[in-house]
Amino acid sequence: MIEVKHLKKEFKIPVQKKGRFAAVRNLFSSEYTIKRAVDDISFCVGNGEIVGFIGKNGAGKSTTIKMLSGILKPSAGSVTVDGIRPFEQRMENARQIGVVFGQKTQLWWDVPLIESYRLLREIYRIDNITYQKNLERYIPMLGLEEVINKPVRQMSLGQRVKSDICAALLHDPKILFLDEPTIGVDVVSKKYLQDFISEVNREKGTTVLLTTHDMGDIEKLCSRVVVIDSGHLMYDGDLESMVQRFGAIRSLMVEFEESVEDFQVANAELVRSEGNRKWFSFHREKTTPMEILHFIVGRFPVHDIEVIEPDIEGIVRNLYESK
Amino acid sequence: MRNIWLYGQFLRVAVLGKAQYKADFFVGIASVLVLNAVNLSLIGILVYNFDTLGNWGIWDLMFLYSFWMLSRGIYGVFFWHLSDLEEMIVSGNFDAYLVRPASPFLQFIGKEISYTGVGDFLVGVLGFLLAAAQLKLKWQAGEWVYFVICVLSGALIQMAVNWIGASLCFWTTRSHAAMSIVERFIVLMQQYPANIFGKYFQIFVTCFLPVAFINYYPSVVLLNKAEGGTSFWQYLSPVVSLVLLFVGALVWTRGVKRYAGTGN
Repeated sequence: MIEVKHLKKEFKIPVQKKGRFAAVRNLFSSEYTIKRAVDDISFCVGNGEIVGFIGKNGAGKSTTIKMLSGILKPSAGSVTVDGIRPFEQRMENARQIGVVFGQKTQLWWDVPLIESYRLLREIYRIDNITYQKNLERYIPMLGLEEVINKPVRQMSLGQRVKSDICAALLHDPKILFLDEPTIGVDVVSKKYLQDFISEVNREKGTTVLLTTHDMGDIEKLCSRVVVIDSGHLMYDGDLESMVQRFGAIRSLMVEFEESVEDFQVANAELVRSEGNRKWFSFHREKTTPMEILHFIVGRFPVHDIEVIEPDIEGIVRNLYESK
Repeated sequence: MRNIWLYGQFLRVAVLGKAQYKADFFVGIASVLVLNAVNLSLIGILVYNFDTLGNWGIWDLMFLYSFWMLSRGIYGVFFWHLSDLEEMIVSGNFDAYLVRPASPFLQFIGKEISYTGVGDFLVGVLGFLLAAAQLKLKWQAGEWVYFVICVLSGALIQMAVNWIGASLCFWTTRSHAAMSIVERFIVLMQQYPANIFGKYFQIFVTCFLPVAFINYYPSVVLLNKAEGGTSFWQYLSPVVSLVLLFVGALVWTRGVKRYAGTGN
């Protein structure tokens, strides 16, 4: 569905002049530095997949999304979205995609939400049956009944993002690009959004590419993740192998009946000690929780244990730091 | 055809949006009326002291001013928000226009209307009626048609000048300063006949920044103010407006392409 090959995007950043008439002199200035925002990235997204696109701020995620949605022209490499080159065939591409930028709205600020939707129906030439059907389906799913006659400027952030996502799906796009859809959104709205996205994906087979800093989104929605950093591809694969590969360090918490002296266990490291509890961290290939417990139980009375798996956030942090 | 229909749909939403702020609507129009009254009385004082400006009497000046107000009113209602482009590019909100299957220009132009233009237009109508009565204008159908066409041309010239100015921010990001200088310039000169400023100025506003075609030359033609008869190029407001629109479209198109290269 989406094919990205050796994609590059360079920005010429003009050297800003200072002092008198700076604006005028900047106009005629040809000095600039080159910043490579996306540097040789290749990946594919299959039909109906939900792919999480993650990376730090400024890693090149948004730039990539902008090239996929036809806003920016690639400096080198190729992009196709269902066979269409987004920049050269901007209009055709626009008809088959839906885009939501979590931090800005694409809706008309001062008019009731339903008026924005009516106008979008005209822009996308959505036939009446599809339009009505989608509205009737999506509005209750997102809990937008109360705000449908409210202007966007009076909405909370959560309501606004939900309204934006609904707007992006009215024309039944084949692909949905979501750029940080849950940023700043409260937990209840976040849950609505996650359920909604996964439901639409299941029902309509919509392919979704999602950038987020929220690891809850990734765990809930994405079977596959693409990680980029400083414009480079760091990882592309399913979520489980990422955990296997970069989440190799697990932990075991042991609570003893009474406080005990610190001690060493083979292939594990005592990382924390607090009251009757001790935490050991270990590599998943070097030892198992059972082996560690076996060693401990023979020596001290154990009250309780807990195995702690690494969270995605930690894994991603490992990934960034490992380069 | 489809674009005209779509533009109509955009305008419908723009009007609905404005209707949300009713108090603002009346205050806005009232303040424009006051502003114009002050402007007109300044010209009045000037003419009262000097009797005439060149060969322009007080009602000729009223005609000139009203002509400008009519065209500025039309321009203002539909295109006042051209200067918002800078803000849209800086904030990245312009992106939204590029992910929808419609012309970015149409979406930008259809984004808003301004009612301050209504105030200007009303002043224009009133001033024109007064001036026409005082000057005892007896126009044939041809003159009326030319008048209407020139008012529209004047609106389009102002639109095109601002369009070109606004589009510069695709290159410079900031274009507000340059645009407000041009705006000040237009406001200053449209109130007076261009010939009182001297020859070089007149050449400048005819050839380089052809804002004299907004109201000065149409008024020269319609009030028969040219010494030694009207020259053909003084009729050319409609042509000038089309040429400027063409340049505007060119600059805009190149600007949008450039935006795709640089982002914001």
